Amino acid sequence: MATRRTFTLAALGTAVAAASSVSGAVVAFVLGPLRRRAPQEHVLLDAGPAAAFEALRAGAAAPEEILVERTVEDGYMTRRVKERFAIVHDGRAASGLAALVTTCSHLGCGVSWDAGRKAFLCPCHGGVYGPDGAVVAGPPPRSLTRLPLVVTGGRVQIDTSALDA
Amino acid sequence: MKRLLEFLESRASVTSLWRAFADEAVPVRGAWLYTLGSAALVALLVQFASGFALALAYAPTPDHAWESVRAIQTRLPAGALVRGLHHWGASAMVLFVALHMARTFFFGAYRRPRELNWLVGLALLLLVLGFGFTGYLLPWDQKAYWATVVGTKVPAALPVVGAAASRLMAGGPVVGAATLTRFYALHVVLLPLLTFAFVGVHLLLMRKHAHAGPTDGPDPREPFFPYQAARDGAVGLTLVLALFWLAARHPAPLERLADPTDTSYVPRPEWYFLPLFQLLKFFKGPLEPVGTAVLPGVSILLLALVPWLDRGASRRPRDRRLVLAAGGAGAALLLGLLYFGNLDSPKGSSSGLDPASQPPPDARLLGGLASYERRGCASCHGMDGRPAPAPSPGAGAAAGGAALLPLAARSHTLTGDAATLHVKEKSVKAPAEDEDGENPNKDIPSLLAYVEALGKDGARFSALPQPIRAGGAVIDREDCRQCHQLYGEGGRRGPVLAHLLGKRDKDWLVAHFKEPKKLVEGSKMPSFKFLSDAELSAMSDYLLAMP
Repeated sequence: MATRRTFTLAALGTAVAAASSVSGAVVAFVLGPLRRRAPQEHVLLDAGPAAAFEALRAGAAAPEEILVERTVEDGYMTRRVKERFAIVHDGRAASGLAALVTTCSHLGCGVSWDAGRKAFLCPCHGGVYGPDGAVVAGPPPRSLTRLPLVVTGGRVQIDTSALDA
Repeated sequence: MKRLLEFLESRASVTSLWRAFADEAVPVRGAWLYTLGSAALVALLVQFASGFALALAYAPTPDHAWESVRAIQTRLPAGALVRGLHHWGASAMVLFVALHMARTFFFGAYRRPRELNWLVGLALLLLVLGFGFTGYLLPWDQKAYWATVVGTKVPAALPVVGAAASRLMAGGPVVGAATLTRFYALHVVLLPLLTFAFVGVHLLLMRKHAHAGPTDGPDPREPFFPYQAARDGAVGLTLVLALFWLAARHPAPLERLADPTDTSYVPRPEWYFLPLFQLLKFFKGPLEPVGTAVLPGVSILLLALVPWLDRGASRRPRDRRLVLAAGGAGAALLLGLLYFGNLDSPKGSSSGLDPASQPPPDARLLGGLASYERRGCASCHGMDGRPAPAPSPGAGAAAGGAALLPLAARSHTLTGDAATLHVKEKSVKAPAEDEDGENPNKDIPSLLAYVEALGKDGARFSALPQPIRAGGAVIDREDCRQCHQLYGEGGRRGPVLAHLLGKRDKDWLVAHFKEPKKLVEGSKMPSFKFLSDAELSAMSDYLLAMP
């Protein structure tokens, strides 16, 4: 019972099926970055000798910004990058210290410690964080991300397993 | 000629198509205001041509993007011009699309039956902004990087879909290699295709419904060609000339290489995103999506609905007071945000090539330049390898005054030992023997390298800032290459000397030259205390300027 109508419908269906399978493959590819990698098991980054942070542990010094090299997955490649952290005093932690990620929780600009105002300032939209990383003023919705620190063998190490989640 | 036209007409209706195009009756009143759309089209063509040229030399990877843009800007023939056209053309696109839209809005030309074309125009505006946003990242300089960090985070605060949208834009959790390839693909493949398709539809619909004409009163018409064509041409030509002037006088900026660890950088977007950027400052905490999504989304939706919100019979401004007042208020708000955003912006470095992004040449060449000067080579060969046209008889060296430029270009008439001998014999001032009894002629290899490079980009050397020239010469003289790699060449005992900017500052470098062991535990580097402070400072300047 091949009529003009069935032929048209069949042809249209085939064309739609072919087009959607191609678009399906393309869309799956474009959506690829949504798949998350399994979070890394504890990756400890060396932040320097514990002796260097003695005053900070006692709460007697201002937060200190450090640059640490870290291996990251960057798109199609794995590479070493420098990452900036702020080491701050943390009375509740066993180590007496915590590491803050210096990325503003608002829109991702880099914050830096202002010794004069005793706060972390964001250069983009005026976010202000206290020495513990809590929001003091401006648009940031959350405090700075805090990473646990461990002191082993006289070295300060940052636990980065919470990054890249 | 006539037969050719007849052939084209019979095979492709060329003449009839042209007649239909040229004889279209267009309004006489307000004719100059109708050139705004053509100006946007001219800008689009400039963008397409210059963008094609740029794509030939651009590499979309974090390791090469900045280098390739710098090569376009500083080394490739007409590179700075083409990039300047593309840079200013982008602003022209936004400007003329916006003005064209404002004109259409004021005339109420979106009314039935032209609703659909208003929507197509709105889509084109969004496409143009998409071009701006994706194009911006491509140079991978500081501005590119930080503006994109902010841009990809903007949707993140949206409920439910925010995180996914932000991840999809960046191609991963953070802005990086995948972001660059994504933006590149959008900028050079998808957006141009969509734009040309929409422009085609826009023009066809415009012709289908003809011009709406003035809002009231008489509406005399004249054929498009030659009257309106001449006005469009005049405006388009002026725009192209203006773009050339801007490209030549105000080169497209290229800031330092993107540095994710540099928290001192104060990012500011291009002017057409400044209102949005400024808006983001007003909404705090849980209200953030109001600034990032609700207000921009609602504005675009309102614009899209304009033809259905304003449906009266008369297009006269006095009958559309409410609509015009709303539109005016919106425009005033946008301009106000732009104004205050601009007030808040850091001054300086707004245009032109950031001096820090100009790479100094290899230290060896600067050492060669210093010894070229010290040995008095210039007295015969001229300062830049071109001897003075008519050397006075008293100069005494007319016979030896060969032009070095063609010499170097002919790839060394004098090579190896012969060149060395020539330098030793002819030097006006042989260098005095070093106190340490070092070989007084150890500078000759650098000198020869310099002479060879003169042929390629000689003009660049004399334009270098003095500290960079002096610093490179000291680095060459002290032979830092014994232990350090510079431009991929040298010993491996010490760290590679590259990408120091952002990692070290000048004070640190100077202090380190004096007492390396004090600053770096277990360092094997000898002290360079014996150099003058000026020399140490110049060396630091040179190192910090290196890519």
